[in-house]
Amino acid sequence: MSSGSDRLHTILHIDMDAFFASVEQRVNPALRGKPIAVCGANARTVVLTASYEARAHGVKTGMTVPEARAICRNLIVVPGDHTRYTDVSRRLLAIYQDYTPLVEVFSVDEAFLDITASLILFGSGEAIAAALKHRIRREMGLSASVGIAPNKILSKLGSGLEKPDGLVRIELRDIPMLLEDLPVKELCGIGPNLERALAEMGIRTCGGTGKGKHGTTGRPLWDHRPLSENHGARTGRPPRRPDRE
Amino acid sequence: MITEVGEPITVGVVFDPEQTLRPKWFVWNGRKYAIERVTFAWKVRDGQKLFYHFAVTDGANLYELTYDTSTLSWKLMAVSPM
Repeated sequence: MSSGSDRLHTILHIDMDAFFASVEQRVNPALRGKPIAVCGANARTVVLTASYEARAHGVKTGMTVPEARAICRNLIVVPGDHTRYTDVSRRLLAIYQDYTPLVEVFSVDEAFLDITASLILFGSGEAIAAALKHRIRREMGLSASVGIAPNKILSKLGSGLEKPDGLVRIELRDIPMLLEDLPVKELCGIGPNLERALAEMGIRTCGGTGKGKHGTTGRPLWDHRPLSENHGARTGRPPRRPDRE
Repeated sequence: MITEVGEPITVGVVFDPEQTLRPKWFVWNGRKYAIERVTFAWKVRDGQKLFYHFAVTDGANLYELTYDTSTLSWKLMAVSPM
């Protein structure tokens, strides 16, 4: 897939749901349906991932264990085992590569897939996403949320919209409505520092135009690279084949 | 509460075309444990060595068994109540 192509791509972002916690609930069936928090091994650890049952009580990643226990009395703390998550991630990659060689592993539980050239083989983006979700559930007993969009930023936004077990497609025509009131921090790549800088310009949502050093930008944030139609396909490059060992 | 063990054990295994290795029972400290179900399996590489890990249950407890492919030996790594 040429990174210089102006042709619209079809990009999937696959995000495993409560990954570490879900794996631990597969390992130990007694944990299924219970509020669990996967933590590090040492005494002063924090929550790495919480199960959806624990999240319902407000338990979040980054909380200390005492903080988490204070808001979820029945919380079960499970020490994480990264060898399990690494192996599961490796097996997930093998599943993804059955549908496209253009897979970019974003993290242990996230990946971007460029399925543009796979559509003719496997059908629509929705069909491929549904097939991937089905295989992940059948072979691994885990659930994933998938976003489908013309570029990586939008696909990652989509995968987060209907978690868990979500499947969301974002078309370019959806951008104005979807992003108008969306806080800028919800976009991948906009961290606290950039959020603060944008806020100083008066931009707090993707629909905000604000006023920069050089005057009013005049265009909503979503109309700028890398979200717009002309540049979306080249945003950070489409997913690439991972380096071979 | 997970109890770390790390002791060698004897394991009865079925080589299944669908699942490669399926431990069926193990003997630890002179007692035989029947494996009701393998709940999870994963592989770990340590340099050249390849280890197969299995989380198994006898219905009462959860056990982590490890198979070292370089020495063809099994260990019981940990036990926890279910």
